[in-house]
Amino acid sequence: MIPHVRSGRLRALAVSSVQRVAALPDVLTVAESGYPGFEADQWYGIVAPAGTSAAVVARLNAEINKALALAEVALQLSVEGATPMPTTPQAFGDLIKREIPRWAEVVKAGNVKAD
Amino acid sequence: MARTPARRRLLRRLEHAAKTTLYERSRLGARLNESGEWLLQHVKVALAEIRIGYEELARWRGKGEFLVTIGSLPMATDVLVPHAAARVLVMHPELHIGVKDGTYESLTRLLRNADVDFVVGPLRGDALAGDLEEEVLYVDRFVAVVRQGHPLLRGGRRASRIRGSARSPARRPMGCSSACSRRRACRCPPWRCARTARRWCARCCWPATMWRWLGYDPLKSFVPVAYVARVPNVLVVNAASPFRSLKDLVDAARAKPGLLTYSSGGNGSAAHITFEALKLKAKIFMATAPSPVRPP
Repeated sequence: MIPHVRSGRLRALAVSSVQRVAALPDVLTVAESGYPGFEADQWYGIVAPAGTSAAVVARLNAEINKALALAEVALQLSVEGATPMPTTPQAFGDLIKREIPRWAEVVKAGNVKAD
Repeated sequence: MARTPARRRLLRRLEHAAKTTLYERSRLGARLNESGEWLLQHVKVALAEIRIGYEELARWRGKGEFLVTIGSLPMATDVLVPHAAARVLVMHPELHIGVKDGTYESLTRLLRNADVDFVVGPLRGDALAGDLEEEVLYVDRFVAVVRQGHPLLRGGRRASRIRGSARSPARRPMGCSSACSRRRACRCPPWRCARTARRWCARCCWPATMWRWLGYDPLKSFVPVAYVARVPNVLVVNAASPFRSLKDLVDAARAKPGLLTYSSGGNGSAAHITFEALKLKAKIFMATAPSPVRPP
């Protein structure tokens, strides 16, 4: 989408993140446009089958965070407009727990159906 | 039929054995009479049973291919049967699935002649013939769609008013009919005996309800390992559009509810849900327009 905005074929009205996006510094966030508190980012994470040992999870987390710290990885992610988010498995688990009820409400209210 | 003397002789012997006439002759030729049709049907069923017997023997020897023919009524042809077939073929690649579509009348005739193993589609309920059995797979809901401001939407009891005006029943069970006269609990693979066809349908039609649930619990089936990245969604309009800010868009949506539409990366996509969240927050209505292409 960003290349089309830059070339002038599309006009960006707002971004859904809390902060403005580095690639589109002039585009307001939804929160800034008059809806304070609005935040709706897509996020990506990695999970393992239930019952995976804590040691394996810790090792994977450490290695993935190491990879996320590499400049090439950050650059590749930024092309897609993504920001690396290295954190602990616990904090990531808390995020999933917070997100489910929040989006379930929107899905119900908007009667969203998957294909 | 009965064109050659040899065939005529054979038919006469068959009639003699059956102690009845099996076909009637006219100036236009010969055709089966009622007894003849009856005999043909039973012979076809017997031949199908023998074929299944051979398949069963081949399976015991660890080889062979198996043929299942599904009769598909129009309402099951688009989604239900292809999805079910694709799923079963993944589990059992040695299976050959044939699909015949047609009307209820034509397919039940094929079912009685063992030309199809079972029929999938809307059930008949009380109107079902005595020699067939039905099994409910799921209940399909009909949805009535009207424009914004349609008279049916006025007043309180919307659903009942719409239902009252619709001529077809609002709910219709979908399922399969099979010609199994006896129920037989059978631990063998479901296609191995014709009489357990009903078990086969119960299995193959799981996918019909599959897309209503994920098949896993996001919290219980996995342990979190690592948060990788977050990506904001961006709301864009055509550069030629008059909207220069989100406020312009919201104001226009408020001024004429239902006039504007939006699109996303597909139903249920993150962008779709994000825009639904924005609609809730801004208290506006905007219908989603299906996206003709998948975004990269």
